Amino acid sequence: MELYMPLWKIVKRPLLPIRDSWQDAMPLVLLFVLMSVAAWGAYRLQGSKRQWVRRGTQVAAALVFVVFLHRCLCALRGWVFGLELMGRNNLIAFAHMAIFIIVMAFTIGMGRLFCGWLCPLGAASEAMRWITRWRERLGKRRALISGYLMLAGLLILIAWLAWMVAPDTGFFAENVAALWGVGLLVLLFFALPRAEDDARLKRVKYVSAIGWLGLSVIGVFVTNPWCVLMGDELDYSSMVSILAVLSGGMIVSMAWCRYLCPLGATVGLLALLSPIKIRNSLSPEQCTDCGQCRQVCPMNALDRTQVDHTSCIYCGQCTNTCGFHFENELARGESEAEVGET
Amino acid sequence: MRRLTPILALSILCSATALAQRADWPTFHYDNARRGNSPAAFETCAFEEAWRFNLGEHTWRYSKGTSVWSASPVIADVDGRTMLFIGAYNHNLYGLDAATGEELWRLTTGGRLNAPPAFGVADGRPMVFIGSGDRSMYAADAATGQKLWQHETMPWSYTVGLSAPTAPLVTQLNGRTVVVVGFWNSDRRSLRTVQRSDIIVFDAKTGDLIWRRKVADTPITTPALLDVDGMPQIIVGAEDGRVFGLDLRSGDEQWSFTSGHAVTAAPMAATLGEQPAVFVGDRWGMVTCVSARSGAPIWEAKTGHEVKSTPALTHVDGRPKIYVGSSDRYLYCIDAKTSRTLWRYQTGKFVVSSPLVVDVAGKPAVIFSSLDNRLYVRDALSGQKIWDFETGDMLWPYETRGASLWSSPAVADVNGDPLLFFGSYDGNLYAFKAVPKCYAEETGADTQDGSRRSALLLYGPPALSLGLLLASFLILLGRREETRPED
Repeated sequence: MELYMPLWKIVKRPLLPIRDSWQDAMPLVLLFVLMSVAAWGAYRLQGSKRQWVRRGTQVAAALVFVVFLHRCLCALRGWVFGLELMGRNNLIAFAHMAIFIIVMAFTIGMGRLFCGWLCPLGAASEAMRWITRWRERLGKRRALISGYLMLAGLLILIAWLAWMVAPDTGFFAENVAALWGVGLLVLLFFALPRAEDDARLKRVKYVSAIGWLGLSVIGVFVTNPWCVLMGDELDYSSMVSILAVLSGGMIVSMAWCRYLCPLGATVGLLALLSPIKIRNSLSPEQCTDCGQCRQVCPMNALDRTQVDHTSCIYCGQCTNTCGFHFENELARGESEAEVGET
Repeated sequence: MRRLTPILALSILCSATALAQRADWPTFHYDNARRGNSPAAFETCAFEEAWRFNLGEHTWRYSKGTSVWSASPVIADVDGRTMLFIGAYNHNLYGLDAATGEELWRLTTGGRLNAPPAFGVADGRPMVFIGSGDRSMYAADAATGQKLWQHETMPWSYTVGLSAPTAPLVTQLNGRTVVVVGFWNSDRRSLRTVQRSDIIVFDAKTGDLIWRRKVADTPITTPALLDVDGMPQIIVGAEDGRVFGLDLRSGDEQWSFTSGHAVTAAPMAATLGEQPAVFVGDRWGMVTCVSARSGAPIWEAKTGHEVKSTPALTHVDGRPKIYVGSSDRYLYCIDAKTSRTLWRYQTGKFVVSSPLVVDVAGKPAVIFSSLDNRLYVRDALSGQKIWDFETGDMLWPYETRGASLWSSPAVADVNGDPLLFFGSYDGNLYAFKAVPKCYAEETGADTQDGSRRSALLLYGPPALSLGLLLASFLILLGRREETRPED
C-alpha cells in the first residue's frame, strides 16, 4: 500500500525557541491562551454565545495544532517518557511533559475543558454525531440493524487495513493505536444493543489508560490516533486508529472519548478534584424525565439530575436544558459561609 | 583531436584518482564526510553468502537504545591482511579476517558498543578506535587487539547513566594524527545533574587530550568532516535540533542551524559545485540541505516519518543524488540540487540504517537494509530490484521504536574482490560475494515485491465492507419515524 504524506504544517521551525533548540514555546503559549478562552467562555457566557465560542476554540485549536505548528499532543505517553528522562536529558523531558502539565493544571483548576473545548480529535468525533442523531430518528429496530451493518462493515475494513499495514516484525510494538482502534469497534458490538450498560462500559477507559501507561512504562512506543494529524507523519497504525475513532463516532456518539481514550480517562479523574462542575438545581422529584438533557449530551453523562463527572466534557450543551448550570463549589462555599455569618 | 585531448586528460586524471582511492571502509559511511559511496565495484548483479560470523551466546537482554552490532563494520588492510572491525552489544570489539570471517581477536570494554569503530594509522601503527557505553574511548592495535590507551570522559558514580558515544573520525591536525569523537554523558546526582555532549579531540597515538568542548545538553550525532574554504570543519547534529560546524583546530563554532525537530541522523557533508553543503535528517522526517558556510537552509524535502539514516551521495548522469531511508518504510532518491524526489522504494518496515552506493554490474546500485529483516540491492537510477537477502528475526522479541540505530551495510575489496558486509540484528555478521549469474536472469526479476498478497485478500474485505456500509446507509435513507428512542 503506497501512501504519500504531504507537508501541511505551515510553520516548520520554532517561533519561540527554548534555549536555541527545536523546542518551541509558542504551542505552549497558545495552549494556555486557548484554555483561558475556554474557561472564560464556559463560565462567563450563556446559551448560544457559549456554544459559538466553544466552536471557535475547537476550530482555533485544530488550526494551531494540526495546520500551523508542529507539535504532538502525546500527553500521557509523554509524561512517562519525561519522567524517565528527567535529570538525564531535561530539555527532551520538558518537551514530553509540558503539554500534560498545562492540561492537568487547567483540569484541576477549571475542569475538563480540554476535551470539550480544545481537543481536535474530540471535535472531529463530535462532528460525526450528525450520523448517530440521524440514526436515532429511525425506529429502534431499524436503527439497530443499520448500526450493526455499519459496525460490521467498519470492523472488516479496519481489521483489513490493520492487516495491510502491519509490519513484518514487531506487530504489537508498532501497532498499539491500531489495536486500540479495532478494540473500540469490538466494544461497540456490546454497547450498541444495550444502552443501559453504557455506564459499565465506560469503565473500560480506565483499563485502557492503565494499559497505555503500563506499555509506556515498559518501553513500548505507544502510538496515538492523532499522531497522523498533529505529528504530520506517515504512521500506519495511527491512520488505522483515527479511522476507527471517527467511524466509531458514527455508531455511538463520541465512542472513543466515551469508552477508550486514555487521556480522557485520566483527565476525567483529575476533573473530580476541580471545584467547577456541572450541577442541576432541580431535585430528583422536580425532574419530569423529558430526556432533553440526555439527547443533547454527547457523552451520555447525564441521568435525570445526576451528572457523571468522570465523563462530563464541560461542553455546556445541557445548560440550555432544565436546571443544569456550571457551579463553582468554592464560590458556593464562600456564599454559604457568608449566609451563615449573617 | 584537440577537443578530445582535455577530455582524455581528464579521464586519465579521474581514473588515476579512482585507482588512488582505496576500496576499504575505514570509518562509518565510508569516509569522514560520511558520503557512503565506495569505489569498489561488483562485476555481476548476483550475490551469495561468503561467510557468516555469529555472536554466539546472548548474555545481555534488550535495553532501550541497544543495537546488536555497532552502526557499521569497518574494513581495512592491516599488515597485508584485510581485517574487519565491529563492536557489539555484548561489550566486545571484534577483529575478524575479512576474507574468512575468522575471529582474530576481541577486546572487551565496560559497556555496549553501539557506535561504530574507526580505523587509522598513527606513527605507522594500524589502530582501531571505538567509544563505549562505559564513558570511555578505547584505542587498540588493529593487528592484535591489544589495548593501547583508554580515556574516561566522565568519572563513575552511583547515579551515572550509560553514555552515548558517536563514531570517531581519524584525521590529521597540525601534522599529527588525531581522533575526533562525540560523547554524551549524564549523571542524575541530586541538584547537580550532568547532561552534556562534548566533542573531544585526542592524539591518536598517545590518547592525550588536544581539546574538548561542550556542544549541547542533549545527545549528538556522529560528526562529519568537511573542508570549507580551507578550514576543516567538524559538522554535528544534536537532539536539541541544532546542526553546527566547529573549526577542527580550535573547536570554535562557525555556524549553526536549528531544525524543526530533533536531529536524529548523522549529517553527510559534500561540496556541490562551489557550495559546501550538509545533508541532515530529523525526527519530523525532514531532509534538509544546509550551507556549511553560513548554516542557511538551501532546500528541504519531507519524508513521511523520522529520518535516522545518513544519506549517501553519488553522481548519476552528471546529477548529484542522495539516497536516504525513512521510518515511513521508504528509501528515497532525491536530487541533491533541487530536492525533488526522483523515486522511492517501499520496504516492509522502517529504513533506519544508512544506505551505500556502489557499482554493481557496471551500474550504480544502492544497498540498504530495512527492519523487515531484509537487505536490499536496488538500481540507483530507477529503484528496480537487483537482489534481496532475508536475515533472521531480531535477537529480542521487542525494541522501542526509533530508539536503536541498527547496523548499516559496508563494502570493501578483500584480496582484490569486493565483499558486501552486513551486521544483522539476528546476531549474524554476513559477508556476501558476487557470483557470475544475475539473480534477475535466474528468477525473472520480481520488481513488485509488495504484490505477494492474493487478489482475494486484497479486494475481498474492502468490497464486503463497502457493501455492508452501503446497506446501512440505505436503511438510514428510509422513512424516518418522528418518535425518539427514549420514547
